[in-house]
Amino acid sequence: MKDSVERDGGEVARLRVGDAQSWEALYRRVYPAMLAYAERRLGSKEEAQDAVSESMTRTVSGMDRLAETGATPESWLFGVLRHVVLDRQRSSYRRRDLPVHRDLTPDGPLESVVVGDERDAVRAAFDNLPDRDRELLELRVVAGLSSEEVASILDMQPGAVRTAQARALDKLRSVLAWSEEVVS
Amino acid sequence: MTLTFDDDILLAALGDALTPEAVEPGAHELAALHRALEAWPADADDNDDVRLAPVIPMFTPTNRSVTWARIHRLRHPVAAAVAVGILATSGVAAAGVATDRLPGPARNVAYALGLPVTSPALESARGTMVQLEAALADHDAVQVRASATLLHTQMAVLSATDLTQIQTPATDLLVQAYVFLVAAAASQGTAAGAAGTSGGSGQSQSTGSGSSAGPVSSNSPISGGTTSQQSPANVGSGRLPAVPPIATTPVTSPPTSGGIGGTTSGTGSPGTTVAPPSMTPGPTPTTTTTTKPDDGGSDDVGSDDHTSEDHVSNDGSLAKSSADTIRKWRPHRSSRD
Repeated sequence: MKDSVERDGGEVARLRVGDAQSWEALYRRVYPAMLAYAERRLGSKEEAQDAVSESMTRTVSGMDRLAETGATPESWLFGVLRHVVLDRQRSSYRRRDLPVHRDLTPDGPLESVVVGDERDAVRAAFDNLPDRDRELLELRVVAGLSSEEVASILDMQPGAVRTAQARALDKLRSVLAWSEEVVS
Repeated sequence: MTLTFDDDILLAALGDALTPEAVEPGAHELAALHRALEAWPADADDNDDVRLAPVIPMFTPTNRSVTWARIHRLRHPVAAAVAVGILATSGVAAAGVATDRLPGPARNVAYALGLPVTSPALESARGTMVQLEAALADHDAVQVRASATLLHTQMAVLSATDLTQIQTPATDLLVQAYVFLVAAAASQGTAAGAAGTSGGSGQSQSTGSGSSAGPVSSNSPISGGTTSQQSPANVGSGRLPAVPPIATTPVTSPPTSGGIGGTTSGTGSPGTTVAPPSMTPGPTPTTTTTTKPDDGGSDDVGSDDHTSEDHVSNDGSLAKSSADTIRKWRPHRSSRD
């Protein structure tokens, strides 16, 4: 994704002048990842759609600053989306860790592991990670942001992001190894 | 199932597992985006204004904004409230003074302060005149008597300046009140018979040396002391005139401004003399009232039972002062009050 942005170096310039086509293209490109991120954190698809839409509106209003910071549109959008999500979580007193942690029992995600769906196994292991780790991995994997971009969004140092990412992957790996042992 | 635990592969697997659905923003969301884009230049200007506001004043302060800014500088809200209250009340007071419409206490204060407002005494007298007019219109004898007495009393304490403002209409009103009361007394028939003896052809003529300083209207039934078309004898006979007669009897001595009442003289019986309160108040109003108009019995108009002190003698001397008048009328007034 970042490559595509770099490939089209004039995108930011077009966005900055309010080019509707560029904004719509950007919207379509990042919409799935933003919606997934928001839905995972808010627990509601409708609320996630509202959050994404609000994030786009805010981003349009602040497009001047987008150019000033030098950030990519995606990282800027996710940064705005994260604040919108946090605001909604605070306002609704629903600081949810969604999806909820599910026990790896034969009746839970482990069952899907047993049945051999690797994707479900990874997803189940991911859901059992702490919220902070999940958010970091989402921004890195789902949104496709670089460590620097994630660092700017999470207000961390890039090195700390890399360390935290490695720690989160270790946890994920442990969970998956444990589940494999259980299966085997 | 085989799980590879290499970081890169794990990230790839994670990405594959968390791949979001291929969804696109709906028409509503795209419309919201376009609305934001359309409004963007204005929003951007607004944002610039907000950012620059603390540094550069973006508006020219008006007098109103300056005033409000000064009010807001007041650190205590109570002080601001007091300031606003003072402004509001002073404005109301100024308006009240300008229009001369002030309630009694406020008028007293304003008059005491020397503000250009009508004196409370004059205002009270005017109010009494209104009441007296209303009472006359309603043919309310009790109220007429009370208001007339009160008006007479109030006129007695007015300053010369104030008195000149109401002297003419007040005198007219008092005359009308007197006429009305006489007629009212006659209508009760309490003076029947006796009045006939006292009236006769008697005529009383007001010959007060000080003749009326009080501006009795030219059409006043008492002016000049001319003979009325219907004498008190007729009144005493029970014939109720549409407009109570006055003139010779009862005789009103036109008051003098100096309080020197005119004298009455006439050929009629002294017992027929019934004088209304003095039209001209003064330090010593000289009004002779010999009969309480609505009293029955011996006090009736034309009654021979009047004592000498209740009458104006034929030689025109006024024996009674306004104080006597008030003393006679006061019980009724007190009962009203």
